[in-house]
Amino acid sequence: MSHRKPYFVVSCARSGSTSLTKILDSATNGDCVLEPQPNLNRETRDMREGRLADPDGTLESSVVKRVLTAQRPDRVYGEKNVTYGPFLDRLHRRLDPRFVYIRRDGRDVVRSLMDWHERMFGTIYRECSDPGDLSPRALQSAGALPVHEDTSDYSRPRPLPGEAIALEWEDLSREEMCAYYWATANRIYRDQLARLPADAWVEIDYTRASADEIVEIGTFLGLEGLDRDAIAEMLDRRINSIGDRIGEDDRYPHWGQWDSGRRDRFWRIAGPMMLELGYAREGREWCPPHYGRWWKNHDGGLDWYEWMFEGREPVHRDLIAWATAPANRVESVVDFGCGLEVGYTDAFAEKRYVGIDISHRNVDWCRRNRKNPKHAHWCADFVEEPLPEKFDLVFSSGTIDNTYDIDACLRAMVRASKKWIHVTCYRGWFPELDEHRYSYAPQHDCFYNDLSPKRAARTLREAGCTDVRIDRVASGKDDIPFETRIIARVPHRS
Amino acid sequence: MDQSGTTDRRRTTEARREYVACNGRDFVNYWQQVDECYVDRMNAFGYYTELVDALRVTSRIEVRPLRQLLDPTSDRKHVVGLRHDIDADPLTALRCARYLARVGLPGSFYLLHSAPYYGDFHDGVFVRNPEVPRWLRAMLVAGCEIGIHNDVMGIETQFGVDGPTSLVTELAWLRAHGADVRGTVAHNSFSLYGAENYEVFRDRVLLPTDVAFDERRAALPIGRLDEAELNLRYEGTFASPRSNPDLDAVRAFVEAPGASVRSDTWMRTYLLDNPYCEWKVDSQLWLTGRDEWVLASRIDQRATLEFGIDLGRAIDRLRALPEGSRTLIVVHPVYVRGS
Repeated sequence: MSHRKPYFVVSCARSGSTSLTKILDSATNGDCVLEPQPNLNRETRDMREGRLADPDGTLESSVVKRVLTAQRPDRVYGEKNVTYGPFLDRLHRRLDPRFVYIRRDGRDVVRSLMDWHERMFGTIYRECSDPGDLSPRALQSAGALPVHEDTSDYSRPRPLPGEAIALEWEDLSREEMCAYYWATANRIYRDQLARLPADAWVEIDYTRASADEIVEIGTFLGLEGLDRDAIAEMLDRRINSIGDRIGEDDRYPHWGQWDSGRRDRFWRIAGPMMLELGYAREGREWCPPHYGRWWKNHDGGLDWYEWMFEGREPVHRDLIAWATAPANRVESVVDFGCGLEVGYTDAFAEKRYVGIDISHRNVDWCRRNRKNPKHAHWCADFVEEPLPEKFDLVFSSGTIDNTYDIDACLRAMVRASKKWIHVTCYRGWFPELDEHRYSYAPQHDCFYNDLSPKRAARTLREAGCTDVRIDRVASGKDDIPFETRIIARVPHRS
Repeated sequence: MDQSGTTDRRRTTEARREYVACNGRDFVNYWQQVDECYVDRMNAFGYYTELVDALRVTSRIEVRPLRQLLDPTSDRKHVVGLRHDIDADPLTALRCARYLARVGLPGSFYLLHSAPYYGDFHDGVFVRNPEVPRWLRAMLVAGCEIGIHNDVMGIETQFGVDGPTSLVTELAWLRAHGADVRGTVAHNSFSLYGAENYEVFRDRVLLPTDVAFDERRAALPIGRLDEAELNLRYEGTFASPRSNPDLDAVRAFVEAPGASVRSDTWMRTYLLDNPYCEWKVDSQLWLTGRDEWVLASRIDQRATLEFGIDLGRAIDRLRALPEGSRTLIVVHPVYVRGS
């Protein structure tokens, strides 16, 4: 009697493989084994580094032997290890198995690895120059595991000779090393899977996995008895999370709270894989899935926008005075994040004025109520979408504070401008910041940002701007007495 | 004088302390001082990684932490221990530990409890450098073996303080901070103090106590501690006292001028013809300066010493050492401090 095809659950660490393994193990006609030994921890790295003399022999005496021993005619055997990356094609040739490849947003994986290191084990990329803010548990764990016995940390990829990152590896932060791990491990899996027949494997995104998707995987593997409700309950339980393991909350910040420096460090290493896996889009790298939804749904009405205008009136007046000063020779303006265009349609009545907003509701209202023939009203995500027209002045008043990417927003303003950009930030003046501080608020589907003048100046100069002036402007309010004001001359383009 | 004048009067009636003076050690400039002291002997850090990479790719070499160096081995492996005596440079030591972590090899690192980087005495109180816990934590994360570079005799003779208590206290302190310390390594040499530092342990006393030898020994804390009681498993010089040392030979050796790892004559005697100890390892390879190594071996009754060899030669010789043998590699991280 022929055996049913075995299967392997493969992924990089902290991607949900333990959760999926436990779910699949609940099938009535199968077993899914969690990280059986030998697990190829050393071999996976040696293989990648070209130092494993006999890969087939290694597999034969370890994984193949185990699978052949464990298989039963009436049951489906599966197992999970996070180290099989370089061996998928060989395993396929030898065992004709199926593979379940799990992927997860790299930012979540890095976050999870960081908590894993700092809260539990203290052993993720042990060579990192910053040992991390370790809990007593993590420090004790690290002290009890000598590095030469730590095959888990050994198994993680390090740069190969010739990789540019090899030269800077010693100086990288642990977040960057984890980003490298995520990107490299997924690269290995995807390259290996690309060599296999399409019907030999399936892929699941565990960032937002559903019970239905897992039921489908069970069907693909020939598993029976997987209960949708039970799966949903197991997913909700966040199996093998830091909370599940030691009852602690996540400590390392969600990527929505990463500052611009942390974003840069991650993206530089993991960006291409983020794009390849669809976790980000070019130009909208840091845009959450539901960004802007609140504004689109919120019907504040004219009163609300007037109230907001009046609350920052000195800042608006300052901007209008600057834009209408003859010396600045502004004849056309575009307003990024116009809302209902309160205050500006009157101030720029004699100029070409375009208001852009992410909310269809707002733009429709403006089209119905703002009838100046020199004016127009567009609905767009101005950070991402190129504009059909350039303007003497691109301004944004109190909107960059809520954007998903301050630097991208500044660059978009520069792209749309012929002469000037002008920005004000209602959240205040933060000269002490080296990096922009982001804080995503899911209840409002937007960020609340504190802009770093230093970083903004650097971004604008890199974009070719001159006469970059970033200072504070009095708001007339007690709680936030000063706002940030940015004025820059954009590069002249013929 | 204070306003009442009582302080001065009291002082005049108390026993006076001995006047002791020394030049101030400015930790702000410590690294500059290290650079100046070792500039002629320094190698680039890549020199160290070259050595480690050579060990890593040589399949017949098995690198072990010193605590396991003498454990049973298969005849097919040449066992190597990588000892780091942190005399002066804990930062480069950490860099070494991190490189070893990157390639998954064990190394053993010994913090010198009498070194300025570790701490200093202020009015009789030993004040640890607040950086030491941070370095220690980083070493724990790097996963290396941590031990004490034992300088009890130095504590006694240089600071006039109870050396054994210093060792016991620092041992407990390191352990309380998470280091599983199982071994010590004696700092400096017999010639300097009139005793080896490991002689503080009662099973490691080199000379009979009833023999007059060197008047300095009478004042030293010889045989005062018990390694087993301190849960110490090994002493990382791997010296073993001779049962009947030739005292004249010992005297001649320890009183001879020029005791230094950079002396061919002295190293030959120390490593191959030592009159007061034998070695439990078959070979020792010491980095002694800029691309300079000393390799001493005593295998199958055949003694060889190569002095001043370069890294390439050292690696070749290391690879040629026989299976089943044990080699101790001694690196002072300050010698690989170069950028």
